[in-house]
Amino acid sequence: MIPSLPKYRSLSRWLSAPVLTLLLAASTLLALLIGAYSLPVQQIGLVLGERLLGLEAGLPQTLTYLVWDIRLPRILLSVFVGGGLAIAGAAVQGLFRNPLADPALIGVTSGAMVFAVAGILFSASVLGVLGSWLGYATVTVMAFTGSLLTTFLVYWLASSKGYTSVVTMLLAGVAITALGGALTGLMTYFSDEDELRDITFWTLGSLGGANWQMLALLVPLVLLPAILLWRQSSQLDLLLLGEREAAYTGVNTQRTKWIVISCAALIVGACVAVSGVIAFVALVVPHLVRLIQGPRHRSLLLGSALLGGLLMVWADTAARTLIAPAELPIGILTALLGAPFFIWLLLKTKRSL
Amino acid sequence: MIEANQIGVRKSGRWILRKAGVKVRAGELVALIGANGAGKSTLLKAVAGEVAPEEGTVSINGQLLADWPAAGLAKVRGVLSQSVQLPFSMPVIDLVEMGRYPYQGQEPGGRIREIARHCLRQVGLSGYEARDICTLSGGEQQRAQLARVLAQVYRDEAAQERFLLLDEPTASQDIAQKQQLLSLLRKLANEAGLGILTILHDLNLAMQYADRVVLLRGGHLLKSGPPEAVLTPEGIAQGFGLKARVVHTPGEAWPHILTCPTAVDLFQNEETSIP
Repeated sequence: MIPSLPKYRSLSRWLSAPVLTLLLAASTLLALLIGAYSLPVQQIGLVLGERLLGLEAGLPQTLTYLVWDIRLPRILLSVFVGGGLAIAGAAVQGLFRNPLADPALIGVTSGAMVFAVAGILFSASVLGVLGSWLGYATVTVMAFTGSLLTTFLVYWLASSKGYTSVVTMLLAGVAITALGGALTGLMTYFSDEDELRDITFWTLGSLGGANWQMLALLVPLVLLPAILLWRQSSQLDLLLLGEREAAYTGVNTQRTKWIVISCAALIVGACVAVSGVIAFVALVVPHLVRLIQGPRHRSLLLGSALLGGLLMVWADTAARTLIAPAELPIGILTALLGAPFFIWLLLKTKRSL
Repeated sequence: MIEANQIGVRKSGRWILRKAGVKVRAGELVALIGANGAGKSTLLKAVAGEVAPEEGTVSINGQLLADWPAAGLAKVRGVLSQSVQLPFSMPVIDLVEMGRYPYQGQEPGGRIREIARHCLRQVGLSGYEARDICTLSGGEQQRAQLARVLAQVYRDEAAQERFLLLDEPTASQDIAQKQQLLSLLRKLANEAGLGILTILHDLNLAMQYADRVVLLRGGHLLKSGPPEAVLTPEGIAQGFGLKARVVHTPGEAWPHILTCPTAVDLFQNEETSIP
């Protein structure tokens, strides 16, 4: 049993939903100022005023474009990607009763990868019609489709006679992930240099392609499943006791499993499709929130979503400013920061046992 | 009333329970006993609805198990498995509050907390509300789980008969706690009118506290009735293949069962002889 850390429980006030919401809003505005070109607060205010309130400020077009069309959608995208990955991670960890579970375990990411790489390689040839119709979105659409198909394949493999075994799902997920890795590797092996570069960058993750259309697609795909997940909070709490006890208490466990898996797949699939692979957010953020807030899902899911969004805003801000005017792939950054932090957390927990 | 009739359960083609049955009335404490592999847990699971029997029927309050809606069933019968493992620790009160799931959205948070405190008091864990479960001993954790199940079936005014199904609740308790736990169950049966079906390994506890004892052997019902009628040397020999004496001590309300590794005649006050 993983203990919560009583000495950190005093922090729970500071990580409560209202505080995190405020921090998130403040960070979003602050991140607008920071970038390859630093902008003064007044100008940001004027742009927002012009766009949101319809004021006539007579600003230069480049400034409006930079703030409204480049930075703002990207920051909002990072909020939803970070929040989405973290809430999906928290729910999946609850379902699997395992703090090391990650949506990647059920094949979401590897499925997205196979299809995305296929999209990069074949968009001109095999996928000709689809490719020319979707244009740049081909890879995104392919990745999303791939993540959903793979997850449902894993779910189907683990189900028989109306019962889905969580353990089989985990095993099937591992097998499918390995298969996906092999297929990705195979396609990578046969790709030319340009394709290789595209594949590498997609794999490392980036929010660089953000725009309002992308955001308009992503937000409902993250928000609606996230609300559905949150409504399963009590059921997920009881599933911590095991499926049997949850069923004895009146939980329709099969329904909860289906909702959690399909919602997590939708969220993660959509996030991976727009941003590529971003590691560790889905693993570390719920773990951190759980240590402080405890494992009950009503606060855990909400806290994870808010903290995930908050951390991602800053991670992406760092990704686009650290080596400006170039950019670091955000997937590298989250793993670079997330992994040592996670190890530190593990050591900390071990000592308090 | 819980009625399980002619229950047959097959696993991989082999009958592990056949023509077994049990009845539990409100206010009654029924002990399910038998050797390991006799089918006690399977019968309990069939009554709980986890295992669907191939033969026979289970009904609660006159309604077949399959016809109960999940939440409705959870309100009238609570089940406690032998060992429940939590992957993450949480405060004890949180665990107990989770038991109120069937009433979700029907009562305010303060009321849920009140009920949880009441149930913790019942199992002797007052003052443990804010403790982390991982700091509790195995026996205390088991009682916290019992409090959760009690919270699940808690009602101010019972509209329906309610039942508890327990799988060896005394497993990780010391000898004093076993007595406390069984007297709590006895009290819940007498005062709250709960019908309790519990697997017990300790025959003396069954003798002392149960209204009726159901003895299983090899998946079949061997004997059923008042403890003194079932827990005879013959019954114990048939059910467990063990020689035993049932000893009445003057001044004690119930006899004691003494199991013997050999047939050595150590006891003078015996009432019944070994067959």
